[in-house]
Amino acid sequence: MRMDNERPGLPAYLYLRGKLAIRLLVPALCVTALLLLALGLLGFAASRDRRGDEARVRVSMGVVYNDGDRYLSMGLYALETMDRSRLALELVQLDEAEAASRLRQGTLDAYLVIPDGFVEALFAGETRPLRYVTDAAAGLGATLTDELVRAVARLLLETENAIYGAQSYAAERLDGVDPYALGDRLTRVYLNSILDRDGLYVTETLGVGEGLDFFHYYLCALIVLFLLLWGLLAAPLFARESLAPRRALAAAGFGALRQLVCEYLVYTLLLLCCYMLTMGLLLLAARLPALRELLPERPARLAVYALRAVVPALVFAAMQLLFHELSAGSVGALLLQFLAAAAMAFVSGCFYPSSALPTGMQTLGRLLPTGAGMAYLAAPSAASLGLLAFWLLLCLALLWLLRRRRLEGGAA
Amino acid sequence: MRNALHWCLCIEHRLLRRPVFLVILLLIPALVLALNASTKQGSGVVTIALCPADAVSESVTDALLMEESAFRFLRCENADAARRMVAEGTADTAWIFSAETGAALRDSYRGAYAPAVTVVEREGNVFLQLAREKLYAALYPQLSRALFSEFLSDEAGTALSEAELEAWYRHVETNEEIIAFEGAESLRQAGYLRAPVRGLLSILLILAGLSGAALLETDREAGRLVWASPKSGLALRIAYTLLPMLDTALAVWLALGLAGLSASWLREALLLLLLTLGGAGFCALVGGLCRAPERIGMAALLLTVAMLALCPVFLNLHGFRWLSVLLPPDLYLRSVADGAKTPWLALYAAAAWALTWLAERLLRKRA
Repeated sequence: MRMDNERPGLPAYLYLRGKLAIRLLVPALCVTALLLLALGLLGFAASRDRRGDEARVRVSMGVVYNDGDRYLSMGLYALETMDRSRLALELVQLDEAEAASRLRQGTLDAYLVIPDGFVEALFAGETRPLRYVTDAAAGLGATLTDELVRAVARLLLETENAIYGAQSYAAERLDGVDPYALGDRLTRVYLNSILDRDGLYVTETLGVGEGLDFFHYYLCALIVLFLLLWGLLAAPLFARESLAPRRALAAAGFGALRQLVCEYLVYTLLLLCCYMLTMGLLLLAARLPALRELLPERPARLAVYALRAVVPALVFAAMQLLFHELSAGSVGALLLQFLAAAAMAFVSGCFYPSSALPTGMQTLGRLLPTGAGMAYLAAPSAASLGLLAFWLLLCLALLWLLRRRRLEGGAA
Repeated sequence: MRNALHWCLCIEHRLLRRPVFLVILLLIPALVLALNASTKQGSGVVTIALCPADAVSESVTDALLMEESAFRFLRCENADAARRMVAEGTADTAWIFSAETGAALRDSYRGAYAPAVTVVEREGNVFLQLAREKLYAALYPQLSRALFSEFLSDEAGTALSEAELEAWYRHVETNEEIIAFEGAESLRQAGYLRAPVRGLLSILLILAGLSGAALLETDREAGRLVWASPKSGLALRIAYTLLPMLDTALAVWLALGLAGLSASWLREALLLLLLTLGGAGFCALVGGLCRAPERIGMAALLLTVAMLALCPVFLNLHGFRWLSVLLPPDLYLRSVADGAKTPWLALYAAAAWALTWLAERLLRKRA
C-alpha cells in the first residue's frame, strides 16, 4: 500500500485485510472440516454404541442385588417389562465391582445396592438401608436419578407405615385375622396402585407452539455456540496486531471509522464463510441415510435455521472484534473470548434450557446478544431483531471509540 | 537458573502490565460469585406450574413448594394461567389438580380411576417423564392414607374415624433413612447450575496455557526472542505456558473457595497445581506442534469443543474415555470427585512434560 504521496483508499485496506483473513481462512476451514468429522465420528460411534431408540434417551441406573431373591427379581422384572418407567429409566443388573467401574467410566448415572434379605427384613418390620451411589462429577442424569431415588424412598416409607399399621390393627382389633396375611393383601393393593399409577393423571400435549421442542432448541443453541466459540479461532491473529501501521494509516487520513468498516466486513465474511461451509456440510450430511437418525429433521427446515443465523452472526462478529480490540494480545484475547462466550451461553440457555435457570438469569439472558440471537433463530420477531440491532450498533460504536482513543495515543 | 528467572519475571511483568488480563483474573471470581448468588433464587431442571383445586391438592402443593428439589415448582392462580405458562415456555409442564383430588385418590382403591391431575406439556421427553414420577411420589402420602383407610374399613367392616386411621397409620412409624446416599451430597451441594463451573474454569485454565503458547509464537515471529539462547527453547515454551496458567489458577482457586465449591482449600490448591502442571505440558506440546499463532487458535477452538463435549463438564458421554483421558480437565474433574485418581493426574503431568521434551528435541533435530 502506498502512503507517501496519496491517501490510502478503502479498497486497498480492504485488500490488505482480506490477505490477512485468507491466512486464517485455510486453518479455519480445516477446523470446520475437522469439527464436522469429529461430530460425525462421535455421532456414528454413539449410534453404534446404543441399542435402540429407547436406550438412547434413558437415564441408566445399576441395581446390585442377590439373584436368588425371588421377590426382588420379580419386582425388577415387572419394572423392566410392564412399568412405564422403563421408557425413562434403564435398569442394569450387575455386581458392585462392575457397577463401580461402570460408574467411573460414565456408562451408568448411578447404582443402587440392595442388601441381602432386604424384602424379608421389610416383612419382619426391619429396615436395612439401600445404598445409592452416584458420581459427584456426573451431570443432569445423576441429578435426575437422585430425585427419582428420593421419590422411591418416600414410596417405600409410606408403604411400610401403612403395612405395619394394618398388621398392628389386625393383631389388636381383628379376631381370627392373620396380620401377616392381611399385610400381604395390603401389599398387593399397593403394588397394583403403583403399577396403575398412570390412571391418576391424564396428559394433555399442547404441541411445540410458540416454544421449541428439545431438538430445535438445542439446534439453535449449537448454532449460537458455534458462532460464539469461533472467536477463539480468530483471537491469536486478530488480537496481536501492532498499532503502528494503523496509526500511520490514520495519519495519512484513513481514520478509525474507515479502518473498522474494512475490518468488520472482512471479519464478518470470514465468519460467515466458515459458518456457511459448516451448515452446508451438515445439510448434505442430513441427506445421508446413516445420519438420518441423528438429524431427524428435513434439510429444508435446517436450511431455514442456517439462513436465519446470518443476522446474529453480524452481531457476534462485531462483539468478537470488540473483544479483540479490548484485549490487544493473544493471552487476553483467548481468555476474554472464552469467558464471555461461556458466561453468555450459560445465561442465555445454550447449555441448560433457559427454563431451568433462575428467573433473574433468564431475564438477563434474554437481553444479551446470545439470548436475542436464540430468540431470533427460534422465531424471528421485531423485538429480537431490534435487540440484535441495538447490540450491533453498541458494539460498533464502542469499537470505534476505542480505536479512536488508541489511535490518538490514549492506550497502547 | 538466574537467566530462567529473569525470563519468567519478564513474561510475568508483560502479562500483569495488561489491564485486560488483570480484569479477566478479577472477573473469574466475580462471575462465579454472581452465579453463586443467582442460584439462591429458585431454579430447577424442570419448571412445574402447580394449580391446586381442593384441600388435598393444596397440601400436596404446599409440600412441593417447601421441598428442596431438582425441579422448580411455581403456584398458579388458575388452569388457564398454568396452560399459558406452558405454551409460552415459562414452565415446562403444568400439574392442574382436579377439584375432587381427594375423592379420586380414594376411588382408585376400587380401581375406579378418575384422573386426579391433568398434566399439561408442550412435548414429551425424559425429564418430563421423570417429573411425572415425582408427581406420583408427591401424591403418594395422601394416596397411601386413602388406600389404608379404604382397606381397613373393608377389613373391619366399619368405617374408622380420621383420627383413628391416622393413629394406626403412624402406629409403627418408620422414619429411618431407607436409602443411604453416597456421592450424592456433593452433587446436591454443588447443584446442577453450579456443577459445570469447575469444568468451565478448568477449560479456561487450559486456554490460558494455549494463549501463552500463542504469545510465544507471536514473539518469535516479531523477533523478540532473538536474544534467547537456542538451547532454551523448551524452558521458554514451558515458561510461556506455565505463567499465565499459574496466574489464572490462582484466580480459579479463589473463585472455587469463595463460592464454597471446594471441600478444602489445601486439596483444591494441590489439584489445581497438578492440573496447571499437566496443562502446561499439554499446551507446550500443542504449541510446539502448531508453531504459528493462527494454528494455535485453530487448536484452541478444537480443544475447547472437545473438552466441552468429552470431559464431564455438562455431559458424561459413554464410551469416549479413551479420548477424553488425553485432555487435562478430564482427570482433574475425576480427581475432584474421587481422591484415588489424584496420582493419575500427577502421572499425566509427568507424561505431558516428558512428551513435550521429546517433541522439542525431535523438532530441534529436524530444524
